[in-house]
Amino acid sequence: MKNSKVGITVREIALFGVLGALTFAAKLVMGWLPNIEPASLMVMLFAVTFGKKCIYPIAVYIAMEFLVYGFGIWNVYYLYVWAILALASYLLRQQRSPLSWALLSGGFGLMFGALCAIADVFIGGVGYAASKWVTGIPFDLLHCGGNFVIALLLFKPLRELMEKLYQRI
Amino acid sequence: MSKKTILALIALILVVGVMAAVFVLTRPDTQKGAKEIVVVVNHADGSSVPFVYHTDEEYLGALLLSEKLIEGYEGQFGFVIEKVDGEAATWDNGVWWAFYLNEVKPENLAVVAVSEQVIKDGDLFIFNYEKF
Repeated sequence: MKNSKVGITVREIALFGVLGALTFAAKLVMGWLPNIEPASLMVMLFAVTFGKKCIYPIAVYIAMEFLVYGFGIWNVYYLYVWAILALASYLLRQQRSPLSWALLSGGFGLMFGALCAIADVFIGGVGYAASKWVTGIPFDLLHCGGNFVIALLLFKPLRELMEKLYQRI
Repeated sequence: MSKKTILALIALILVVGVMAAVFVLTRPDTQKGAKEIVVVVNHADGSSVPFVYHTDEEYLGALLLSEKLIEGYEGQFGFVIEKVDGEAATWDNGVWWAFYLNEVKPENLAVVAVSEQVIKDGDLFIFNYEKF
């Protein structure tokens, strides 16, 4: 029996831990592809399947990134960018069209640099943040394309699978 | 496909186009021909060592690698520096080589990797051994 909206069961603890770790592992495997990653897809799936409880697998994923790659400026970005994607996905959870999700994921990839620039403003000022964002545009374009294709192909079947599996636990 | 989805697709394509245009139009031009630049290395012990180069290289990374001033590896976003002037600073031991333009100030942190940094005559680059 599931608890209240953010309290979780033992089975959910296990599930969210495994999913967070799987997200990290999948990203590791695809690490050789510049800015092409499955994390955006997984965060969207967590948000639409688990609702507010998506914070748990996302937190596991972020914690693993921090533990393996250490600490740097990028840690600050990770504290909010994934939350933004999760929130947007949760708000659009009624959408069923694969193209809609591909657009959200692609748009997130495209805006990733701009989202990171928010923290950069406090680190080095507006000029620094703007320069860094502009020079990172090629990576954002790749991120957009990769996210779009991955979501277009995989979001719908994975969503159906995850919803079925979640109902059983 | 709903009207909102079509509009969102058009918007995404437009933003991609605008961002690509912004990048192309704001890229600094490279400069060929003999250029004099200064690279200052601020070591962990507080010493500051200047290196003056006369070069035709267009990018700083290529110059510093050929001069053996830096060592590292090619990362996902460009060259990752692990050693400067023989002194190592890798991220996993809590220190790094911060790369500045003209002056050691947060807003002067380089926004590109050294391999992507364009060289112009009279430039000053600083490698600062820092803890984070």
